[in-house]
Amino acid sequence: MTTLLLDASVLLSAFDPDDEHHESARAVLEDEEAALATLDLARYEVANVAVRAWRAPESVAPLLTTIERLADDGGVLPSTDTLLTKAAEIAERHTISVYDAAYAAAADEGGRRLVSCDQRDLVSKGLAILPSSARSQ
Amino acid sequence: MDEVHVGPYRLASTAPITHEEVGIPRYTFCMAKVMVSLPEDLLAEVDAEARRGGTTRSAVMREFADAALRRRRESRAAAMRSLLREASPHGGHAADRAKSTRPEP
Repeated sequence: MTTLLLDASVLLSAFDPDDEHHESARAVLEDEEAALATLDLARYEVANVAVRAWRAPESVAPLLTTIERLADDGGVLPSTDTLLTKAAEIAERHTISVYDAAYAAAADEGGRRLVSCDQRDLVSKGLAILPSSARSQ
Repeated sequence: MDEVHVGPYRLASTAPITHEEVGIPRYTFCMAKVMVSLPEDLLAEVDAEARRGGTTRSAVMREFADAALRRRRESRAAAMRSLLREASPHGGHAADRAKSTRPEP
């Protein structure tokens, strides 16, 4: 069984019924067959979107609790120097941000599969799969 | 060039022996072998469990590990179902929103 590493977009999508990946993102989080993990960066990203973009600070607590539950499952991985060095290489190679590349590096490091709603920078470059493809992993 | 096979062989033959022919269940062919350190009293319990179930020490430890990880996933899934009741519409575009709120370089 492969551990799925979820980026912030999957967590945000699961909490937003307006998002086009909402149902599949939700299904991934509720999947009893897969082990789920994320990166510590996700804490900042989900809180930032809840406060700055959604204008819904009340959403911060459930989003952070969601991440804490992943810590008890596949884990919340730390952004170490080693990981970010690898992320910088991936960012340079694929012309993406170090933020996105950090998730890709974390997935690559432990043989995990990165799941993201980011079609443009991650899925189209073969660095991640969409939530709708994740349940068959 | 001769075809190379990985796995057990018949003498004087290039055809690989099947898993069933050597009495090894198919699933064990793709298992890693590891060394695990256990306190003696825990190992004694594992061995007692293996004897009781008429199985091997490895099988008992596999089963326990699988059951523990399954319980952990089920617990997380149940927690998610509860947390996601708080989902509310925010306009979608989750990936773009995450990017747009990151600090500028």
